[in-house]
Amino acid sequence: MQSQGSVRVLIADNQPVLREGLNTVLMQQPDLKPIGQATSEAEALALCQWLQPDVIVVDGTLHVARIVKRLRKRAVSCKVVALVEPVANRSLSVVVRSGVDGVVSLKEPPEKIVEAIRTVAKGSKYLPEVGPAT
Amino acid sequence: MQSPRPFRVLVADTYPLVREGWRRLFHDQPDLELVGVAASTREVITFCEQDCPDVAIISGHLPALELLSELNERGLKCKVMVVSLRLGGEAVHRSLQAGVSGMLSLTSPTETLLDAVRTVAHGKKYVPDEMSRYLVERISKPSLTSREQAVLQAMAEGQSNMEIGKSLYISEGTVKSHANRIFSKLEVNDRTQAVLAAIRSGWVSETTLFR
Repeated sequence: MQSQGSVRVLIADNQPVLREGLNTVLMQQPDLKPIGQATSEAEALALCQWLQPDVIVVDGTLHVARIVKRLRKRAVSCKVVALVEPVANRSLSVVVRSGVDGVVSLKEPPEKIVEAIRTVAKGSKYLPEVGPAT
Repeated sequence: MQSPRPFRVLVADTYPLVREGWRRLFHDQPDLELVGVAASTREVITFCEQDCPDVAIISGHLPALELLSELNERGLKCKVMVVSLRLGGEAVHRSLQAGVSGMLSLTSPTETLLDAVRTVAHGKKYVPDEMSRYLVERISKPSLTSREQAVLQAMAEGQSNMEIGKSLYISEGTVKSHANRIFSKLEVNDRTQAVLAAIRSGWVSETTLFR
């Protein structure tokens, strides 16, 4: 059992520099605890089952929608926050509609990512507005 | 014995998490010192004007080639390395020709990233192994002229021969003959294959396609 109130976070991304950055930011938060790093989709799914994180943060270079679908199929209940490139509107709405709990642009300051993790860990959504499906 | 002065490195990326990751990465490298972190090319130039680093690591989101020519114009001699998520062979070729010292994928392991920085700091060029094979084949093939590149880019954006002709101020027939030369140089049979080949090798940039 973790110390009360600490949110266990798994990082999933294929870029080591970004993983390091996120890990550093998480370690600076007393209430968040980075518990592992997955470097691919397969690793993300496996680590979610083994480690049972409260939140998984998935970078948009991995296939976020497919990861969400497979997690839900395996009845893994962790919340999912997606990190997305700031430009691609079309792919943003795909991510938002995929059933993720939170979406944050990579351009945002780290505080926003931390805020998103805290928000979804409490059971709320952290999603941007997107236009209607086309 | 006194150890040699560490190489001075500047990093530029638009994403705060990536900047944070670089800070962490250089934290325990005695021979490499991170002297600055920038969020834009403007910041890079300002920094270099005050205190030029040995190596500037520039994110692929930023216009690295424009930055390089601005640095050259100002006589700033730092070596530029481009780190990008997607590396097209043609983009690597063009960047090296423009004077970039190293190209690398952001998905490479951290040891590879640091090795690349050291290679460049020592005045050598760095490209990933799989790129060197491409480059060897590339220099033995005919290259596209700038006009052919413009036609290919327009094709990739979905323009018809007539539209391409209008925007480049040439006749539809001239567009067709450019197109045929492009097909034969890229060793493909039609527009679709040409566009695919162009995207894969980096002749046309994906960002302009999905704008």
